[in-house]
Formats: sequence, structure tokens, C-alpha cells
Amino acid sequence: MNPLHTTEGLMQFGLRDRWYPLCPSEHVRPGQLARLDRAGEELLLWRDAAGVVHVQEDRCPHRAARLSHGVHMGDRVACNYHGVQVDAEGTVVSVPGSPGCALEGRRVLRTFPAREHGGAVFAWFGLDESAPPAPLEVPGPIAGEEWAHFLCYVEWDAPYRYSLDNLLDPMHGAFLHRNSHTMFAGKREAVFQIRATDKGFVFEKTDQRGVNFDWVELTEGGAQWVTLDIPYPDTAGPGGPFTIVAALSAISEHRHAGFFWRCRKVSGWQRDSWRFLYRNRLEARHFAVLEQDREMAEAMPADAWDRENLYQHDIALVRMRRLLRAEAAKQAARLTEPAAPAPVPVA
Amino acid sequence: MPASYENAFGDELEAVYGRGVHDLPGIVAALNASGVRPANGADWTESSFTAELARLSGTEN
Repeated sequence: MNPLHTTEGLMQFGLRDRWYPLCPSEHVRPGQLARLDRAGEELLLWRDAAGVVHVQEDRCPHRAARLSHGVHMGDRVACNYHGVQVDAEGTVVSVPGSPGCALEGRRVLRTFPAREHGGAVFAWFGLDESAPPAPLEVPGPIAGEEWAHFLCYVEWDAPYRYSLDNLLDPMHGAFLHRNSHTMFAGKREAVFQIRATDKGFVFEKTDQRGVNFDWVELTEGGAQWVTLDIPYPDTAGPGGPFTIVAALSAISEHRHAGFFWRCRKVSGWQRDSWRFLYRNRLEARHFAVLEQDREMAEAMPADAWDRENLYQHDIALVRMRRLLRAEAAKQAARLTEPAAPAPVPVA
Repeated sequence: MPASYENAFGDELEAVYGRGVHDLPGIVAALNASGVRPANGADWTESSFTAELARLSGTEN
């Protein structure tokens, strides 16, 4: 059975009917055929002559050879095995070995709606591949002009769920990151509450804000976003707190890609100042913090979720997992239900 | 590796900010009291300081 048709598989590779970030935009170079495994799919990424990015299955419709081993032909890709040519819509435009055969003109290559935003390539993985995608709605800090941001991209040897857990667990900031430049202050114990929002929830300390990693928001709609704030020390200069917008995508059951947009609400000379300090020194400090998270996540046992003893700080994890599992079960049921009989046309 | 000048400039800027000085006139005065100077060796002014930040910040985002 296709793992993407099971509740457990969808938990491992990510829910469908979501936009997932695949890679930084610059990873897909003009004239190149890039192969990536993301969200349980084997993908081919390429840019057409106009630079528009396309995301398709890395599988020749003829005999399943890897199109990524083929030839980039500007507005189409030619498979290297038998020369079959497929365009950006997924239509076979030429079968040189058998011109005029029935395969020509058929739209048979799975093609995923693709967008670029914030320096990353996103693709829509729909439950129903013929249905149009939901709009790609991005969180405020990476949507507009009032914010500056830098994208940090990482690949970790850990299930994507462990990163999601980590992001929804603000309390680890005061312990794991206690020696960092941003999370050295604040209480070592806290009481949290969950506040429902339109598309998810905010998980926050009830008695401390603006001191450490004190709140986090999960947005679960047409994409899965985690947003959080960490206060900057005075040395970072004028501007708002350090804000992270994170999105994750599975590479395999035990590996994932992490996208961390590091944002700050700053404009004018203050923006230039933050961008300079970020490039010159803050990036290295932020990265050192992320490395602590990576080491923790990569060392976790594969069955971490099977034997845990959670306490009050973990209620956001519990809520998130319940949310995902319910949605995964619903999607798995839809994917495995027998096709509905075709509607009888009304005379 | 950033140029040593950029590191020195960054060091001073962080030190000034760390003292809670976040306003333009205050920053310029504090920088002029430090050893870091723009390339032409002149005192910092608000416009030379902001122009330097723009240059050092790069343009792409």
C-alpha cells in the first residue's frame, strides 16, 4: 500500500492539501534538472526559459526512467532513455521513436502547482490532483515590506515531526539554549496556556513575555507554519524582536528539510544595520543555537513518540499531534475510498 | 571572512548598541569617540554613517 494512503504515512511524510517548501530558490539553476525527494514524492524541479520553476514527478511517463537524468530543452524535458519529451504541463509533446503514437498529446506526467516566495520554492501536494491548489498564504513577517528577513535552510537526519515538536516546545529555550546570546534570561519554570486562533493556536507562557522564547504560534491551513519571537539583546540595535517563521518538509521517514526565515521588523537605516550585523556576526550565533537543536533532534530514538511521559509544558505538542492525526486519518480514508460512480448525466 | 574593518566596525556598533544607545545622533557621537573611522578618516556624520550601513548591508533580500 502507498504509505501516503495511510494515517501513519501521512504523519511521517506530511499531510496532503498543503503547500510545502522544497528548497531555496537558488538550488534550482537555469538549465538544470534537479531531483529532490520531498513529502513522500520523488520530484523533478526545473526552470523554463522564462525562469519559471516547475515541479513534476521524476518519472518518465513511458517506462518510469528518471527524467532528472534527461535533457533540459528550454520549455520541455527530454528523457534520456528513449527521447520522450514532456512539457511543463505534464503533456507528452513528442515520442521520437514512434511519432504520432497515442502517448503523444496526453497529459500524463504528474505536475505539482509550484510557487516561489521568500527565496524558496513551494509545491502544492493535493489530495485530488485535478483540483486547484489553495492560495499560498504566508505569515506576516515574510509577506511584506516592513520586515527584513534571511532564509536559513537546513537538512537534518531526523523525522520532520521532531522538528515540529521542538518548535512547539518553547521551554527548551531556557535550558538547551541557556548560554545563547538571546535566551540567557528568564525563569526556568513557567505555566503555559493555549489560545485558539483562526487557523491553529498560540502556545504561551502566562507569566512571562519578551524575555526568552515565550510563545509560539502554529498555523495549520493550506500550509503549516510555526512563528515565534525571541527578544534581541540591546547589542542587536534598534528594531523589533528576532522573529522566526519556520516551515518543514519531510525528505524521508527519518530526514527532513527545515526552512527558518529569520525576520525582524525594521526599516530604513535600522534595517541596514540589522542586515549588516546579521551577515557579519548574528547569523553565526543564530546558527550555533540551531545546531544545538539539530544535535538533540538527530540523536533522538526513532520511536521517541512511543514511550514518553509528558507534562504541562507539552500540551502544545499533544494538541498539534492530535490535530495532525485526525486530519491524516480523514485524508487516508478519502484516499482509499473506492471511486464514486460517475454521475449519470441528466437528459 | 568579512574584512577586518567590517569586524572592527561591527564590534564598535555592538558595543554602542549594548550601552542602550539606539538613536542616530547618539550612535554617531559614540562612534566618533571610538577609534573606528570611515575610509576617508573623517569624523562620522549621520549621513556618512547611514550610507556606510547601506553599503555594508548589501542589497539583495
